[in-house]
This record gives sequence, C-alpha cells and structure tokens, in this order.
Amino acid sequence: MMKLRDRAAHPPDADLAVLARLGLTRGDGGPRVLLVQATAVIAALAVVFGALYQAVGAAEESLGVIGHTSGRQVVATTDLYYALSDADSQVATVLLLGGTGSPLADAASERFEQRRGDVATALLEAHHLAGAADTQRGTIESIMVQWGEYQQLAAVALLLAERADYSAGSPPPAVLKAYREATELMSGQVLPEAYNLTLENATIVRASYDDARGGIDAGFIAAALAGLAALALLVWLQVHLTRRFRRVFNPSLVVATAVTALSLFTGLTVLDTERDALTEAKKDGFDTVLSLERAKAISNGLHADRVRFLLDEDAADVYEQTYFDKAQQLVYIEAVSLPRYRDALEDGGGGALTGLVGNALDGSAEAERVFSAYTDLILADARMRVDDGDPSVRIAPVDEARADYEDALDTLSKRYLDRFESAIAAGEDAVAGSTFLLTAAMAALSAFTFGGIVPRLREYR
Amino acid sequence: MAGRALAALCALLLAPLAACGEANGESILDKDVLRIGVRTDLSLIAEIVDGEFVGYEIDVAEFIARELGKEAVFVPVDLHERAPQLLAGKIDIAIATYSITQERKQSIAFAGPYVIDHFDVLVREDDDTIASLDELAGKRVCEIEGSNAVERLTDEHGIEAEIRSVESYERCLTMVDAGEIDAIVTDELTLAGLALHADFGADLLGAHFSQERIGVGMRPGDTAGCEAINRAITAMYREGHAERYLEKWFSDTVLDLSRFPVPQFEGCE
Repeated sequence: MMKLRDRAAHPPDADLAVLARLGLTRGDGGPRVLLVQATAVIAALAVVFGALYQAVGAAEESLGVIGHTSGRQVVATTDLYYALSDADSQVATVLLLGGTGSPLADAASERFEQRRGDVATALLEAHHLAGAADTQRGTIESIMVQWGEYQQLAAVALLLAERADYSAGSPPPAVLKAYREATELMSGQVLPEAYNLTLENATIVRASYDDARGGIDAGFIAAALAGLAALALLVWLQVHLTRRFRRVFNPSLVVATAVTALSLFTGLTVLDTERDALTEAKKDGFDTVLSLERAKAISNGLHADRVRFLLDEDAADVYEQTYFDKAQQLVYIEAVSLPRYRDALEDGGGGALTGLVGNALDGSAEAERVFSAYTDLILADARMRVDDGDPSVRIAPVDEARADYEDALDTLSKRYLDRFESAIAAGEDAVAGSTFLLTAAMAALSAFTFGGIVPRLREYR
Repeated sequence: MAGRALAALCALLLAPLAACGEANGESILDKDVLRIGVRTDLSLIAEIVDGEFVGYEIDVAEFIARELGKEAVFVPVDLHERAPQLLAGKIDIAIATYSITQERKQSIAFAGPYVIDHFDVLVREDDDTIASLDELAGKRVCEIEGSNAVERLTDEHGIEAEIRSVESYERCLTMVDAGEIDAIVTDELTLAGLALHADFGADLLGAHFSQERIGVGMRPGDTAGCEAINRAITAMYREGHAERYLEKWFSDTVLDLSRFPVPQFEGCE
C-alpha cells in the first residue's frame, strides 16, 4: 500500500509516460483542484441548509402569529364584542321590562353586572395581546374610554327608568331618549371598532400565512436544487479521485453523499409536513374558528336588534331590517323579507347553505344541532313578533331558544378551536429542534467532505 | 408524504421556474392605476362639473386610491351597470352608492362599508298627504333600475305604492315638480343633494326606514385588495377625513351629521 502510494507520489519517468497514456497524470492544478471541488460541495450544502433554515424559520414565525398572537387576538376581540353587545342587550331588556322588580328584569340586571366584569377582562387580554402594535393598542384604548362613557349613559337611562316606574313594554320618551344615546354610542362606535379589530387580526393572519407559504415554497425549491447540485458535486469529486488516485471508493465521501441525500430528503419532508400543518392550522382551523367567532358576534347583534325592536317602536322597522340582514349574514337564504326567510328556513333552506354559520355546517352532529337550534330561534322570534301583550311573556321562549343556540354554537366552535390548536402544536413539534439538527448535519457533512480529500492532499507532499 | 415531497421535487425540476409563481387571480394591489366606477348624476355625491369629477364619493375614492398608492381614473357607471362592469373587468372597484346586501354578495364582493346611510322619502313641501312611510300606499313612487330602495319599501315593509320606472333621479325630480309622481325613495345622502337642487320646496320625511351600508364593490376573490381598502377606510375615520368629507359636502343640507356612525366592516372572504 505504502509502496504504491510512494510510486504514485514520486513516479519514475518511465511510469509517468504510462500514467499519461492511461489519463492518470495529475493536472497543473494539483491539490488546488481538490480544494476547489470540496469547497464547491460545501458551498452547495450551505445553500441547502441555509434555504431549509430560512423556510423553517418562516413557518415557525407564521405558526407563532396564527397560534399565539393574532389568532388569539381574534378570540379575545370577539369575546370583547360579545361582552359589550350583551351588556347593551341587558340594559335594553331592563328598560323594556320597566326597571328592576320583575324576575326577568332582575336577571337581566345581574347579567349586565356580570358583563361589565367580562368587558374589563376582555379589554385587558386584548390590550396585552396587542403588544407593540400601536394602531391596535390605540383602538383598544379608545374602546376603553367609550365603554366608560357608555356606562354613564346607561346608568342615566336605568336611573330614569327606576324613577319613572312604568309597566313593561311602555317606556316613557325620556327613558328611550337616554337609552338611544347610549346604544348609538355602542352600536355606532364601540362595537364596529371591536369587530373591525377582529377583522384586522384576521388580515394579519392571512398575510403571515401567505408570506410563510411563499417562504416555504421558495425554500423548498432552493434546497432541492442546491441539494441536487451538492450530490452531483460529491459524485464528481468521487469520480475525480477514482480516476486520479485509482481508488474505487472514498469511504468519507460515500458517507458524505449518503448523509447529504438523507438530510435533503428529511429536510424536504419536514418542510412538506410543515406546509401541511400550516395549511391545516389556517384553512381548516383558523378560518372556521374566525367564521364561528364572527358568527357569535353577529348573533349577539341579532339578539340586541330584537330587544331594540320591542323597546323602540319608532325605530322598530329599521331594527327588523338590520335583524334580517344579520340573519342572512349567518345563514344565507335568498329571500326578500324576514317572513319569507323564516318560511324558507323552516323548509330546510334548500341546497348547500352559505354564510358565517352556513359555511361551518360540516354535516357533523354538532353542526346539525347548530342549524336546528338556529331554525328554532328564528321561528321563536317570528312568534314573538306577531304576538301582542306582556313583553316578558313574549321574550321568554326566545331567550330560551337563544341560550340553546349559543350553547350549540359554542360546542361547534370549541371543536374547531381544538383542531386549530392541535394543528399549531403539530406544526411546532415538526420543526422543534430542527435548527440544531440542521447545524449538526452541516458540520458533519463538512467534516466528511474534507475528511475524504485530506489523505489525497497528503499525497501531493 | 415522502412520495409527495419527491413528486413535488420532480415537478419543480421539470417545470420552468417562472411557472411556479402562478397567480391566484388578479389583485387590485398589482395595478398602478385603479379604474373606479362612480356615479355622475348625483349632486354632492358624484357629478361632473366643468369636466372634473367632484363630490363626496369622489373624495372618498381619491383618499382610498392615495392610501393604496394608486392613481385613480374615474369611469362613469350607471346603477344597473355596476356589477356587470366589475365582473367584465371594465372597472376595478365601484364607489357608487353601492349598498352591501347579502343578495348582492352572492355575485360580487364588498370592501367597507365606508358610510352608513339610511333610506328616506323625498316629497313636495306642500304635499301634506304624506307624513309617514305608511302613507306612501297608493302613491306614485319612482324607481331607478338597479336600486334596492323600492324593494325595501314594497317587499320588506309591504307598502303597496304605485311604482314608476325612471332612468335617473334628475328625471324623478322633474316629475315630482310636475306632479307626475309623489315621492322619491332612496338613501338620504342622495336625497339631500336632490333637495338642495330642486326647483320646488322639497322635504325629507325623516322616515329612516332602513339602514344601508354603502361599500366598495369589487370582483370576488381579491382578499388582499379588500383588506387593503378596509385599512384605508379605517385610516380615513381615524384621521378625521371621513367626518371632514361629510361636512364639506353635506353641512348645508337637512342631514344631521352627528348621527353618522363608524362602519362595521363586512369582512373580506
């Protein structure tokens, strides 16, 4: 072995002629060629790992945005919307029923107090999640101030009602005027700002998702192309050594080639898994969660419109129309008026349903329950609208239907929320530790590649 | 999964790279110039004066285009031509007294709303037979093709008025003046402009019989474009421009500007 190497390193002149005929003489470059080849391999590997690293980073960042900041903010802001809107409904209910005294009015009064606490909690949570986002913080702070103003206006209306002492269903003009001022602030300023904040976070999630998808796709292409280049270079280096030094295999380079192929395959597979997890978290999880959260907010507006319809006779027509518009936003059925809508709904709606609730009807038992509870609610509302008499008797069955519908919606929403959270966790698990693995693989491959050429470099001495 | 990774890899190597950036439908964000469909026959809202487009909606449209960093080119559009022109790609967006309805959303998309408006009724000042919405029963009311106002009146409120189809609100106004019809039913911003330019004493009933959410009509599928317009509208309200535009155009009219709320967005699908 040593003898052969010595002969190769210092061949006699006659041997040089033979080697030249066989095409085995060293070129002018000598060790430089080997070093250039090895460096090219390392450079290609650096591109592979750089691209994988970038793409994994983009995916991790997006999972963070969807799962932990804007995704959670969507839930926090709809909780806020719910608490605010329900607080206003409860005030309207107390005023409709003629101040405190009746069990229903007392219950509404109690629920208003409870909602005040919920609003405070939701505001703090939303403010916390807004982090350094100035516009979002500004909006939340503006809602805080307006909520303070609303509570004062509502307190005036409630006080006037208590003093006026009227029978249910016939609030005096002064009470109505005070309430109108409060509810105009709520539905004209506070609620739109809260709802638009939810949508703004949905925009942030969508933009982050699109960017991450673009980053993963670009990383996939770059890693794949550079990986194939690295493999080709490794094979070329192997052939070069074989021809130049008459070694069939260079064990180090064989290992380097195998590890490169394996790393490339693993890296691309991880990216593919990551892309799937991200898509599932966004499309199947987040989008449906968002749709159902918006449905909860709109449903709340629907209930508020019903109470206002009863409370404020002068504006009753407008409240009936906004009620109808919201109902169509939840479950769209082509209809020209609320009565026609009810009829069509009772017949099952006909065909595939769309709308915020309609889109989430996936055929599951939970979804079936949402649809039947929604139908019951709209029908109970219809009976309430045609009935005359004591409002507390008229609204009791609707309140019951509402509670059942909200419960059904919560159950369905919970299922999608779980799915969303597990998709986020799965995505994060898939990339966990990948930064360390990528760095380790890169170091090992560099060592193997240079390890493969070092003995040959020695032969030049 | 691994198979799919390999298949994707092969596809990548075989396909020219340019094909990878396949466009998922066009977005208004990719354009330098926005062709904005606007009305041209509504005083204070949008009209052509001395060859220039002027009015409340023109200001809103210019603000939105500026926020998006686009040049605005105004294209006159009739009420019933709004959706067809959008879908045919002749205009990119419509800022043309376009009420968002769930029915319209089945074929086109909406950003906004940028203003919340109400339907109301315009009558002659000296006509004391109409003081409320119900008194429109049996009266002659004009209808403009493409407007949803008469539908709200007859279908939702069940008022059996005698409907006359007319080509423009200007013509409606002349007909009210001549006593050929009794009332015009549409949104109060439009009615305020009409009342200001009527040759006769005109009154608004203040019926506010529906809430109209006036939005930006768009081709469906452009979520990013729709979201960008919503952000522009948010800025318009936050920076006080929305209020300024309303005051600039409507402060001399019968409208109570303190009642205009912040719009709750429809949301971009």
